[in-house]
Amino acid sequence: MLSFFAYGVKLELRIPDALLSQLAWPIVPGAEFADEGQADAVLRVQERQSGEGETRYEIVENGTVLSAVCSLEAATYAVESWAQLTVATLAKELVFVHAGVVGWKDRAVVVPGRSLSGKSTLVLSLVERGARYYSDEYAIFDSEGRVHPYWRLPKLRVASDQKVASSLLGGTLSGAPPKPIPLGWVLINRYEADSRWHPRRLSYGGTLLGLLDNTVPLRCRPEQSVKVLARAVKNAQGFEGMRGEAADFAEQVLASL
Amino acid sequence: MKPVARKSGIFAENLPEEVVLYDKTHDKVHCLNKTAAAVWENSDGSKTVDELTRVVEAKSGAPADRKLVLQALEELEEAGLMEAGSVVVAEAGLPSRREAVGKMVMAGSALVATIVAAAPKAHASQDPPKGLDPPPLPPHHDPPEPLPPFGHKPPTRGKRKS
Repeated sequence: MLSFFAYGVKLELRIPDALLSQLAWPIVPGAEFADEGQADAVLRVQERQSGEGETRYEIVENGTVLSAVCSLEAATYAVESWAQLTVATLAKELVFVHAGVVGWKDRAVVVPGRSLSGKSTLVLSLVERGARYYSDEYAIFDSEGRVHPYWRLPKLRVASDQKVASSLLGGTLSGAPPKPIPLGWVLINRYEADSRWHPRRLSYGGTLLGLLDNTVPLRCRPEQSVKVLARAVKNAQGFEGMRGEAADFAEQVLASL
Repeated sequence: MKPVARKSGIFAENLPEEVVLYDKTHDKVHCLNKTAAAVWENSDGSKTVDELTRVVEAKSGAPADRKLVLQALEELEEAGLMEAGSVVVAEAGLPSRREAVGKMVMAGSALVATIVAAAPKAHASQDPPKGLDPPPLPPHHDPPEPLPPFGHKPPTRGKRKS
């Protein structure tokens, strides 16, 4: 069993030792070990043997199976993902938006998007061109509408990209995370081969909808989510458009901001 | 017709030129432009469409006419923001919805834009490193749908995303 605090949330993991030893610490950026006791949420991993002798790992929260996978490696990944999502959902003082974030001219460039939208690759491309790394997973907004870093190594699906990320950011991430900064730009984008970034300017409302569409606790804490993000967008600019490859997009974006 | 806005279970956040509404009953977020916001705020069941038009023009500071107010009422009703049965838009001479919305999209002036608030578990990561089992969709996953462009509405009468 493992308990930790992250972003004001106490999470307990009840998982087999074999799996526990595979988890990279911190499971959630900034997490600190906690004593046993009442937790805000408990994630459990159940091992089950199939008829063919395969081990199946089920990640369970409050009796509901969240995921079921068939390898220790996949279970490690799933536990980490669910732990991060659980913290993002329950962190009461902050609003987590699924997005990549870089710092540029002392303001945050936020690129909202769910899984498989290419956030990590876009963030890496922006960092390679001089932007400051903040996050490849969540833009974290405080009550003032400032954006905090989610200080972990970007996760890329292609091994060679992961190596680039490690060499580019490995040193940076061993240092202190950057300070929270005001929101500067929100870039709603969709990939289309051979597209060029010629976005249209969004209204404040359109920009806010773009963030809310990717806001993790929106249903749990709608008033807080809307108020915090509305405050953030009042000093920001939102754009929406099609983009081509990440490298071209990064080049075009930074030249235009 | 004296329209009545639905206001229970809804909270509003004012932006400089728009109002964003969160509908707790249906877990939807609506962004109303100035005209739609003025129509929604003033639809209290005491005003006819003509009276609303005058109020909207005065309060929003934007030019409004009867057709625009009717259009806003229709969009608000479609978004579930009017009390059932309080809006009956069927007037001779009113442009077809397709025609009207098409013009608004071209002018970048859609009145109501809507998204569905996703459940937290819909944000579960679906991108394990290569070679690993993809985690299956969580039990309450909202099926993914293509997003409409924000602030735009489709130029057809088809069912909206929300």
